Amino acid sequence: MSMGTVALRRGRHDDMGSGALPPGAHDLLRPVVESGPWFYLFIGLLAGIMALGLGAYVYQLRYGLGVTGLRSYFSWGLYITNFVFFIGVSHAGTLISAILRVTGAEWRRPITRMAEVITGVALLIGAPMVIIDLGRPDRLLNLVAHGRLQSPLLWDVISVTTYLFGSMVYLYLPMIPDLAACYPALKDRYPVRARLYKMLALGWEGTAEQRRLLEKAIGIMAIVIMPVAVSVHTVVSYIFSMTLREGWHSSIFGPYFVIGAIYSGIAALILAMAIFRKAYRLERYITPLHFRKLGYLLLAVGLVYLYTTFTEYLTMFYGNKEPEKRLVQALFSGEYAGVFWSAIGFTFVPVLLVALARWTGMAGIVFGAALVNIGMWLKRYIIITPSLANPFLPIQTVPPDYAVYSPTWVEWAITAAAVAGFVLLYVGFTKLFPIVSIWETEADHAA
Amino acid sequence: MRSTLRWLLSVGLTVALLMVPMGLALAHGGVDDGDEPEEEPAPAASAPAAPAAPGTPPEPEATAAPAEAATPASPAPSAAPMAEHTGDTADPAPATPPTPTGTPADSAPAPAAPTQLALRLEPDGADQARAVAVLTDPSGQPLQNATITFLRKTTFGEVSLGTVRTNGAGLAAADLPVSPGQEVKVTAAFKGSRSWRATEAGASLSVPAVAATSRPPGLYTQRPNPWFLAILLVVVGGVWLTYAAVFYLLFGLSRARMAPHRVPVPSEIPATSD
Repeated sequence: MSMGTVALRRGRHDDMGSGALPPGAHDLLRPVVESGPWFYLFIGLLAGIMALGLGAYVYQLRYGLGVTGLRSYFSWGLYITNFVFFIGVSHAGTLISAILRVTGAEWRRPITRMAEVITGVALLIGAPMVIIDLGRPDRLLNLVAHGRLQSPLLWDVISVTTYLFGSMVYLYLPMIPDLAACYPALKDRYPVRARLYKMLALGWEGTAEQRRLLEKAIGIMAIVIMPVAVSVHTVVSYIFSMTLREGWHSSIFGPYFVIGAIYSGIAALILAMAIFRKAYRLERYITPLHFRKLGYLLLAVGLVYLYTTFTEYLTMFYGNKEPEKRLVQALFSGEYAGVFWSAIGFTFVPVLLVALARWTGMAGIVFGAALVNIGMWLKRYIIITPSLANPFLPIQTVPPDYAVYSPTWVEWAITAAAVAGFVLLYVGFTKLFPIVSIWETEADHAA
Repeated sequence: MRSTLRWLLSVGLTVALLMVPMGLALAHGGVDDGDEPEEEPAPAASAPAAPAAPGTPPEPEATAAPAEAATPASPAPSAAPMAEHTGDTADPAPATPPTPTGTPADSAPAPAAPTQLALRLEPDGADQARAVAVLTDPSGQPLQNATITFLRKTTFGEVSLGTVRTNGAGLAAADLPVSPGQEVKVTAAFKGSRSWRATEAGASLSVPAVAATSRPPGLYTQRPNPWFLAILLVVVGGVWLTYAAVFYLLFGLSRARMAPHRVPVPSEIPATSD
């Protein structure tokens, strides 16, 4: 694993301050220092959506979970769907970046930071969804006061916390040389920000000993973070599969969820690449090669996900047990058929689009990735809600609104705020730090 | 041009392929628009009281009804000129004591007279209680057909238990679900009318805790399996120890900077012979 040397060019002046950056790095720093009017408009829109979601949450706090569609039978709904979705997307970064780094795939260099940021931001957005679903956030203290290690819910808290911490460290380590390079380049124009960079750079000067230590630290984290990432979504699946409920109590759920997470993570990364390539004019660094390679990964993982989905539903259908029969009927031809078939279509049509990339090209891969993200959200909803609607004892003798789950404006507003928050945090990161790794990319070009 | 064509091809292919699952969905008529399943008759006792739904008007309690409650007990029109219903306790205009007849809404303009509201919370089983409010005029006569709102205090605000009209005994009640070990606080409020002032009353109820019943051993474990605990500690602890090792390497990073250039003192400069 080579790191290259960050060349410090002294004495060259440009509008970013006293230039101390390798050639081409100015392109990568341009998004950090330049923002057009559309950017502020976009940020304003996102902030507005988040404010709406925050208002909805305050309304929910004030009047209780009764303002949502959640009821006795439907204890989980949109919030847990969002939680599972965002935890799944978080597999993008760290897992893909770590695997590509360990296997020495040199083409990964311009996209690793994009992937790692997706992980951190997705976890920061996904984890609070559980607290929102709790209703009363003070009940979180029960985890400390009355937590039971026998519960998959507590395993989930432990694994998500461990993964979040590790992802942040894994994101930070490769940023150190870039932060050191950014400080002299930006200190005249952005003195406060530059001081932050200097502090985070930990005195990086590119000495042989520092390179050795950083290389070792990144290598250790790349190896440790992989099993942690796999364990996170496996444990999330245990929340469902450890429950004796039709549609959930399945031994395939562990690998099923992990594969699905990687699938949605790759799709999110492709989408992020396409957007930033266009918005920040990074065509020189993010090339069609990256889309093609990730497209192949998307195709491979998509086929595995298709296989596990087929196995899951065939097993339920063939067994023909009474509760499972009702669930399968509800999914395939009943009240959930619309959402189910939409989820299947959006999730697996992109496999074909990518397989035909010779004709659909980069556009097909990006469009397919967007569809995958929508489809995987619907898929999470299909896993959660229909199973709750079909318990062992059929729902009976309850008011009509107790028998059907209909998300209210509160849940949709908070969901929209979660998506807006994800985008806002991501874009905010790109305005503080270079989204493409300067030292890794320039070292690659120098080589 | 080529890129546009590729976009069009991708979108067209997707729409064409999505027709298959959409067709399946429409053929089975299953767009999930929240269609309600076939309704089953709900016994009145099993329907949980929704927070915002008004409660059912209570039956008059025979034992609690005073003799005068047989007559309609509501504020009556008064000959005094109408005063603004501001809820102020001080009413400069002398008011004819209103007789308890008629309804608050039907009363002719009259100075707003003070009212009294008494609230009590009565346990009704292990998981149920009733909030009972009695609205009377200053002379103790019950007021009929007054709207009482019951609110239950929650951690971040209040939840409505229902809005009920008082009966002939001036009594209104709402169901109150409780759990063992809870401290429940309820407020009853009368918004007032042209003739009667608004008033409210509060009450609290401590529900005694019950001892946890023992569960069958296959369904409950008091403590986690020690082997499971050991494995969890080793695995999770190992990961966090690795993080600590990485932080130790980072600490070494800042120490591994180039040594600053040191100017030698004159005594260190070796003597040279001419």
